[in-house]
Formats: sequence, structure tokens, C-alpha cells
Amino acid sequence: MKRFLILLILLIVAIIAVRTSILFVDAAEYVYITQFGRPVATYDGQSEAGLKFKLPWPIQSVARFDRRLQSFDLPTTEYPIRDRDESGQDKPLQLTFDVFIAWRIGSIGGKNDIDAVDRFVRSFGSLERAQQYLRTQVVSRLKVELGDVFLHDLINTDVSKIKINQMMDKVKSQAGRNGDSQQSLEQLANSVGIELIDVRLRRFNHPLLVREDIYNKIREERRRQAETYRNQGFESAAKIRAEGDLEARRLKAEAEASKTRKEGQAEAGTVRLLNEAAQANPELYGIVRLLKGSQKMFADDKTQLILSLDHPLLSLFKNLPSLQSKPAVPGEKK
Amino acid sequence: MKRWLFSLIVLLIVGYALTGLFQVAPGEWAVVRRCGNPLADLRGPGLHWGLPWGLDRVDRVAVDEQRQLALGFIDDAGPNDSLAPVNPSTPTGQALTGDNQIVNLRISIQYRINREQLVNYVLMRDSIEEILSRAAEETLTATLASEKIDQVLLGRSAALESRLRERLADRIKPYQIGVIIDMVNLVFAQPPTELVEIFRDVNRARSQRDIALTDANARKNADISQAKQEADRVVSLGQANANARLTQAKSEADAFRSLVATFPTTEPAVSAALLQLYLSEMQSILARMQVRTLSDQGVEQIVIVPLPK
Repeated sequence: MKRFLILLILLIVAIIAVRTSILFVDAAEYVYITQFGRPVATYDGQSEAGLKFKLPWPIQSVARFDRRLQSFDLPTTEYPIRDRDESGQDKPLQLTFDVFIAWRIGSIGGKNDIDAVDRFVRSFGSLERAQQYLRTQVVSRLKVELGDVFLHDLINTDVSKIKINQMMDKVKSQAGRNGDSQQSLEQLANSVGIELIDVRLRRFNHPLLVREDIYNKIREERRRQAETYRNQGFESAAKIRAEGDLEARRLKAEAEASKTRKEGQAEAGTVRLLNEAAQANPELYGIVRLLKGSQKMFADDKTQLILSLDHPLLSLFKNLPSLQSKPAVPGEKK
Repeated sequence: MKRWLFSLIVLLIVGYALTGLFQVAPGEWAVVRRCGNPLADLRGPGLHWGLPWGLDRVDRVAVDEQRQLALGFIDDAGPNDSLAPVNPSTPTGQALTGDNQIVNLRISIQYRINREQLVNYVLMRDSIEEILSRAAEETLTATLASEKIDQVLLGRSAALESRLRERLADRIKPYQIGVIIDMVNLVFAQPPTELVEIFRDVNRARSQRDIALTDANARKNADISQAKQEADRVVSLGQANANARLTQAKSEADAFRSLVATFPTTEPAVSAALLQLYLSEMQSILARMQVRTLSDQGVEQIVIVPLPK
């Protein structure tokens, strides 16, 4: 019985020893191996995933770290930036900013991740503590950077004047301005085993407290806009109608002019035609014209002609016609 | 007893080996991680046999599936999306526009898996939506920062959606999460609830202006077309008058020529012809007239003189 117990214990120890000397390295992690607390090996899942062996526990122990991209948000924070009002005066403006950070355990560009894991383990040992560190660092850099930013760098209808990207790139990559650290945030993070991939602005907005004032300002602007539209409509409509009127008059005047011109040309043609005809016998033509002219002059039937009975036309009333007397050349009187 | 133990062990071994069997459904591909190491060849639809439980890890992915992620403003008071706002003072899906206005937005992102980066996708699987949401919100904020609110609300902002898509694709490139952004749709764009009324008023004013302009243009066109008709009528009247005048002149000229041709050239025929001419003209003149004589003073007497025919 005792022998059996010893055998069993030995078996269990053997199983544990075998099991703890076999190691699976997943593609999504780093595996950090220490021997009595002293680091002896690091496996990078990207290049060394698979089956590995080590000395059994408790001689060598294993710590696993996620090697994948991590992202988290900074708590919404108000920062003062600058705004320039209509008079060109600079004044501070409070805005709330939401920032997210993307990072992973590793070195800049993933060039020497194995060493970075060692730095990471010694500096933090856990993702949470690393995030806490990043949070503090980013906030202090962001505050400095935002102090120089104008509202028109954040929002502008001219897309080339927007500096959100440059600003956030600076937070990540520009050398620190506080005397204590000349390194950029990226380098600083690298020195503790963090590859800082992105620091980005997720949203920004007016603080809750001033929201109502902003709304009122917008309402006022919009009201003016609506008024402008209404006036525009009124003025432009009047202008368009006036244009139409002018054009109509011009068309009519041109038509009248054209009519007059055509009639004038016809009149000239008439004169020419009749003159040509008159050449045949100008004297006779004179008489014919006179008679035709009279025809036209008395074209209506309301004209009253008052004649003396002595008038040759009425000679029939006085004398019977005779072949001796030749009728006089007629004369008329209205 | 011994045989019984032996068959039990065999059964257990066979059972364990069978855990290496796995199935891949149509449209899916499987990434097998053997002891943590992703195998280079992916398994397509069908039945496969790998190493048993504890050694192989199989991740099945519907590679061709169109995936969708919506984020931004939702029109109710509840939590806005899977990523609840960190602080209620910055509502999700609210952005400042280039002309310093506030707009509520909701977008829908259509994406699919990049087959070449299938392993990346499998590794990042759990956090992809989280990363995508953050990047998409950054994209939305930065893109809207240069837009004019009226353009956005009227959907007239040039290629806004494709610019969102491009920027988002650029943004997630360094993250290597193994997805391709197919499309970003702006599914909702409205001013904040508190401002909706005044924005409506602006819209009304704008459409009133447009209607006034349309009306004015219509009236202008009608005026001009009426004037054109009138003008055409006047011009053709002028033409007709001119033609009539010329025709008449021609016939007068012709008539005179034929008169000259038939007119006698010697006395007394000339005088007789003249008299004839005179009388025939006078006849038609006097035929239309009232003729009075003044021979007896004080007595009004109207004598109609129809000349002898």
C-alpha cells in the first residue's frame, strides 16, 4: 500500500513536470520565462509561435503578455484652447476632448520586441498599469499642445487649415517641451516597452454647461440666415420680373422699329415706281394724281360739299347743255 | 478485468483522437492554430481532421460575409451604442462643423475580411469592433470639421461618404486588423433636437426664396414669350402693309401706263378724254357726298347731286 502511494506521488510529480516543461506559444502573445525570477527567455508569438520546451515548474515559470493592439479612451476632459472673436481679440475657450490611444507591448516599428517585453515587464507587468501610465503622459502632453491651438485649427471650412492631425501627431512624436523630458512621447513609451501607435481625437465638443449659450448663438445666426433668404427671395424675384419687363419692352420696340422700317422702304419703293411711270407723261400724271388725291381726301361719306349754283359742275341746273359751250376747267372748294 | 481496462483505455484514446475532427460550413474558412502557431494552409468548407483537443485551436470565419457596424447618434435617451460615452457631456455622434455648428450624425460602416490578413483578423477578432468604432469616430469628427452644416443636412456635401471611407481606411491601416472598408453611409444627419425648429424655419425660408425665384422666372418667361408673339405680329403686319403698298403702287403705275398708252395725242380728243377722266373721278367722289348750294341765302337747301351715269 505504501509502495503504491509513493508510486502514485511520483507519477503525479512526473506528469506535472512533463506538463510544465511543455509550452505552447500563441501567435497573439509574448511568453516570458523566468528562472527563479531571473528572465531567461522571451518568445514572440509572431515569429516563434508553436511548441517550446523549458525546465519544469517551479524552476522556470511562465508569464504571458498580449502582443496585440490595445486601444482605450481617456476620460472626457475639458481643456482650454484659444479662440479669436470678430474683433481679432484672443480669448480662452473651454472645450471637452475625447481621446483614444492605440498601443501594444513592443518597440517602435516592432523592430526589437523581445527586449521591449523585458522593459515592459520591469516597468509595469500588466496592461492596466501601462494604460495608467500612458493616460498620465498623454494628458500632460495634450494639455501643452492644446494650449497653442485655436478653434479655427480644429474647425474650418477651409480643409487645408485644419490641424487636428498635425496636433495629434505632435502629441505623439514631438519632443517634450517641459525641461524634465526632451524625449517624444513615442520614445518615452518605447523606453518602457510600449509601442505607441496612435493618439487620436475621438470627439470634441462644447462643455455641457455652455451648451445652451451655444444653442442660443446658433439660433440667432439661423434666424438671420432665414431673414436673408426671405429678403433675397423678394429682391431677386423683383429683379427678375423687371428684367422680363425690360426684355418684353425691348422686343416690342424692336418690332415697331422693324415695322416702320419696312413700311418706309415700301413707301420709297412706291415713290420710285410711280415716278418711273410718271416719266411717260408727267403732265397727265399730275392731273391723275390730283384726281386720285381728291378721291382719298373725301374717302368717307360724311363730308359735306357746299357749292355755289354758279359752279360749273352745277351748270346743268342753270343751262341746258349745248355743244357750243365747252365746260370750264373744274375747280373745287370744300 | 484486464480486458475491460484495456478496452476502456482504447476507447478513451479513440474518443480523444476524434476530438480532432472538425467541420467547416459553406462560405467559411478555418484558421488552425497548432500549439498556438497558425498553420499556413487554411481549411475550406468540409470535414477536417487535425490534432485532438488541447493541441489545435480552430477559428472559423465567414470570409465573404458583409459585416456592418453602426455608430453615432440614436434618437432616444438610452445608451447610444455599444461603446457608451465616457462622459455624458459629449454625446456620441455629435460633431462640430467647419462653420461652427453642431450636428448629430449616425453612420453605418460596411466592411469585410481581407483574406490575405485572415490570421490577423482571427487574432484581433474580439476587439475589431471596438477599434473600428474609435477610428470611425475620429474620422467622423475630423471630416465634419471642414464641412458646412447646410451641405451636410441637405446631403449636398461632395463625396462626403467616400471621403469618410477613405479616411477610415487610412486610419486603420497601421492597426492591421485584417478588414477592408467597403462603404461608409451617413444614415442620419440632423441638428440637435433643441435646434431642429429653427433649422426648419431656415429651410422654409430657403424654399420660399426658391419658390419666389421660380415664380419670378416663370413670369419673366411668360412676359417675354408674350412680347415675342406681339413683336412677331407687329413685324408681319409691317411686312403685310409694305407688300400691300408696293402692290398698290405697281397697279397704279401699270394703270397709268395703260392710260398713257390709250390716251389720245391730238385735240380735241385730248380735251374730251380729260373731261371724261375728270367726270369719272368726280362722279365717284360726289357720289359719296352731301352737296349743298349757297344760291338762295337764308334758305337751307340740300341738293344731292348724283352725276349722270
